[in-house]
Amino acid sequence: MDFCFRISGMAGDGIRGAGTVAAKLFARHGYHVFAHFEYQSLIRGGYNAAVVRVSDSRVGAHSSEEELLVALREDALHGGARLVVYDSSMFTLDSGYGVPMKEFAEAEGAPEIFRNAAALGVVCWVYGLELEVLRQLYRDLYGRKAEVDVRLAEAGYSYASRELPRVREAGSTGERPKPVLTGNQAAALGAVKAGLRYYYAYPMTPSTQVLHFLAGVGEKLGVTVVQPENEIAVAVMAAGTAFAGGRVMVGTSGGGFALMQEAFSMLGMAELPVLFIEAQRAAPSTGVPTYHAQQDLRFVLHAGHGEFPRLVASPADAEDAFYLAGELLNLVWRFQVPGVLLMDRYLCESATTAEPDVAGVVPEEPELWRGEGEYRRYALTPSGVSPLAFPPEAVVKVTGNEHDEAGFTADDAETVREMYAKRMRKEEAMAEELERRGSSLRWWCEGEDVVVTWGSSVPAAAEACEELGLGCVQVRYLAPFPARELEHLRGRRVVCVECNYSGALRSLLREHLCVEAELVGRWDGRPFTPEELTRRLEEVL
Amino acid sequence: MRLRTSQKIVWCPGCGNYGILRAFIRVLERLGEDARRVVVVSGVGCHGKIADYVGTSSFHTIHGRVPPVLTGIKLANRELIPVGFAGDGDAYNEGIAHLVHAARKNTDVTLVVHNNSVYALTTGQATATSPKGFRGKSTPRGAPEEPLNPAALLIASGAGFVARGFSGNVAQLSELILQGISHRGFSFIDVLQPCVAFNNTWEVLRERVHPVEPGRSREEALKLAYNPFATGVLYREAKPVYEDSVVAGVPEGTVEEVLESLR
Repeated sequence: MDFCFRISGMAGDGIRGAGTVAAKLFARHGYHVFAHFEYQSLIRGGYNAAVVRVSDSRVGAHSSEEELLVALREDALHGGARLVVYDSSMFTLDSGYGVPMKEFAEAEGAPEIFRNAAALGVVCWVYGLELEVLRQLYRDLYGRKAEVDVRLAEAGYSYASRELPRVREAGSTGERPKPVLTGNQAAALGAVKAGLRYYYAYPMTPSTQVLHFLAGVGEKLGVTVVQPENEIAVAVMAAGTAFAGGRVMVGTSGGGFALMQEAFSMLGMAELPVLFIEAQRAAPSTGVPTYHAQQDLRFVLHAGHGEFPRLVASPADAEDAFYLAGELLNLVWRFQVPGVLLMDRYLCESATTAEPDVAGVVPEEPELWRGEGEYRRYALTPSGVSPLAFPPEAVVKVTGNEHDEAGFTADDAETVREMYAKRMRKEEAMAEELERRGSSLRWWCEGEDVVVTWGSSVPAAAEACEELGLGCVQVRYLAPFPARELEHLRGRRVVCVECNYSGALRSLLREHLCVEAELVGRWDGRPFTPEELTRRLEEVL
Repeated sequence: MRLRTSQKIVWCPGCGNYGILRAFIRVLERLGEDARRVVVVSGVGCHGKIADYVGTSSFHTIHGRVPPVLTGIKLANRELIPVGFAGDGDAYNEGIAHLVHAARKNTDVTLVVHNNSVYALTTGQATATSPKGFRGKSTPRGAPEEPLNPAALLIASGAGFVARGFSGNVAQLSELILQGISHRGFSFIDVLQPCVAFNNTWEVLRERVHPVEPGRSREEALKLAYNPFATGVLYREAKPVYEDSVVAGVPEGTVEEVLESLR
């Protein structure tokens, strides 16, 4: 079973809430779900939609083939579903099924936004789901305040059971319900599992939800969450925290990350471990702020002035975000470099069933100073990694200036040469470690012709590749770039799939491997669907 | 712990920075064992080299960003005593947003600003505290802007400890820095100093600075601050500190429990 439906209205209609409840409703019936949210940069009005895909196997993308539209407003009749259910107390249609949702809300004396619960009642009926599961879901989510939602869901369900046909007898799969979480939540939890103690961020879509989520659960999980005055303060405050031994992550989008560049470079020079979430959205500049893109790959690979090693990884879905956030936090501490978890709008905000192996992510201790002799923060070592110590157990001197082993400012040629090379050789040590862990690549399916892709484009691409009998490989670590592991791409037909115009990953294949790939790109703020990719890959191959 | 390092000091002879360094070394002496917990943060400018000259732990950061580094350190380890040194171009131009917000936050850290009213390391341009009409290399016809009054700004921003010192009065300055460190909350000390190379104000300062008693209210302190040569603690008020309200305690739950709640 695999189907997709849409709930639409305007901002202020509770569409995101409805989509989340719908996703959880199916998840509680044992299904895999993926809910994609469309919204604009405004608080009331405009067009909002939740596109929910339901399947009995794992899904990482929504579908362009929608079978049902539940429209709360007349100007929200988008999506192309053959069957339309609409709020007949707002408008009338020649076809489809009207349900007077606003009247139900008025009868309860509830504000208009509560219509969304009636819509959920309708969804529950037309898919043959259990009303009691929906009741319990509302009670779990809203506690004692849930009763109005429960009564409206019952009204919608009851009306639909008299007037509407069943779309499907989905029922329950008997599988244990999986958690439903967004990429943002998954990344936050993965980092916490790896020992995160501090999260600093200035709000910016699509990373803001990490800030909200951790602000909510931070106290429980022992994570200090702070919103400083601007992004520069965020990055520099994190530098201070890392210097004093605190495991810290910061979150932003491309514009905010642009403001953090000088600090990012300082972290490279001072060898301070800070993990950055860079949640891409449609740019340049403020661009199309609530829409999707994968335009910042080259930006993060070259972020900060000067040369210094960094780790950059990009997850495909929520489970991957959990693992990569955890692994990156461990690795930035191990190698004492800045790291970037490169997310994107589609991954960040879509809600999906995910069941990461939580026990598989644990805090890994970096190499610590043994307390012998005088501490030298930048002691020269073969790997380039110097043992760590924190004040007050040792006198620790760090600086954004070039420095000697003890951390004193230096500008003589020999010291500059040696310290520079010390930092740069960490790149080789990091590449070896990633190969050892087998973390850099993930083959989603095998085939002679290969689609090479990254970030949230991966699940849709993998589905299309399975359909077409192509290989599909996700490049999880973009820095250090896994050139050795991708060498066998030479001589094969390669297509890159990415949501940008110029093919950032494609250019990396050319740079590191001299592989000329075709590009299937998209830059209109919308993510790929499997159907679209199947068609476009057929065109180029 | 050695309070001074063996690094060669490369400030100009007669620079006001020497007085600030001497005052701070006296503070470290008076702190005794507690000096181990001091972490110096410095910005960019001639003053920033102080990180190399003091024997404590230190973080020489980028231009204008001393206050957030101080806060980040304090949040990570409340046992540490973060003391920042910044320049006037550093704190009052490049990073002035952080300064105002540091006063609002009220983290228990101390900030000493080497205020010589000129960008010195970049060889003589007007800063936010240069007098109107200041002839620097980028303002040959005189700086067109009004100077800022840092102490007044910080009092208005809600800072709980605002002082002004003079690099030529080491005894008073070391007392101000020590009081700043002892004050629980954000402590701000603006230090008037000459730049012997690009803005030599030695004579004017020596002639006109005078000590005052702290204002009993913010309004009274503001009046004191508006006299640019009044030195001493201008305002002091005990307030709750930032870290007490934001730093999370030991975890009471697990990631597994949070995931479970998302089912």
